Amino acid sequence: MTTAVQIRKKLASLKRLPAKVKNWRVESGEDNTGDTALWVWVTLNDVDLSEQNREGIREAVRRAVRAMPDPVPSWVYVRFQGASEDAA
Amino acid sequence: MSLHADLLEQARHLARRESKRPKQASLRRSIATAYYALFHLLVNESCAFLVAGGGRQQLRNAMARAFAHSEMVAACKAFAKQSATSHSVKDCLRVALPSGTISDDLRKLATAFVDLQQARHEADYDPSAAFTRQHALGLVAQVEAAFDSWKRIRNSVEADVFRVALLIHQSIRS
Repeated sequence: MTTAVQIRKKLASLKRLPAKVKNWRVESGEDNTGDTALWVWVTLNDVDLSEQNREGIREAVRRAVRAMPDPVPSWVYVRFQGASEDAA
Repeated sequence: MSLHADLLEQARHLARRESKRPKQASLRRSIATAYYALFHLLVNESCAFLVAGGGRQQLRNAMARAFAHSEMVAACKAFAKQSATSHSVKDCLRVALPSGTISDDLRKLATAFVDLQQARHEADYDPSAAFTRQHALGLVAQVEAAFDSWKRIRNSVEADVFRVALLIHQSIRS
């Protein structure tokens, strides 16, 4: 199984994202349906938290996880927070 | 305004309350309300399609009670993952899709439903979870984008296939 650490490393190496990612946090587990799942927490500067940026990063994260060696989690949940909240 | 539009407005309002330190209760209710906005949009649109015509509102109301959260999320996962090389939508529904694949708009909407249902589950049932305003606002924005996606595709054949799938995808025998 691809580990959360490996996935975090892969995500940190992503280029050409729509906004600069300040921090990545990756956790794995089961979602409410019992499927294997990954939670990716993305910290952006507060001014970068537009839906357009979020959608671009969501897509890039899911594409990157799908491209990893099998087996990968069934679903990837991508969550966002502002840098000011991360420090709080 | 419709119930789903009102719920979305309420979710936005709850996420913006308490300008300095948002209460966890406000953020949790915002997330759950955003999920229910999308849930009711899809149920309403599906019932209007499956039981069309005047004088049938009570029948539509009865049908609305048949939609199950677990069935809907399973259908949404299948549609979100459907591609030319990976057939996650059941065959008898997939052949009804005009191109055999689904549009970006439908994929985004299906993805939003899965994301929001999980977030709502955490907001309602995980007392240890801590929520931030930007997390809640992000989920509300994802539902707003899903509403816009639905407006663009609601008259398409793939939207009709999706409406049917929300009710029966899991029940179809292979």
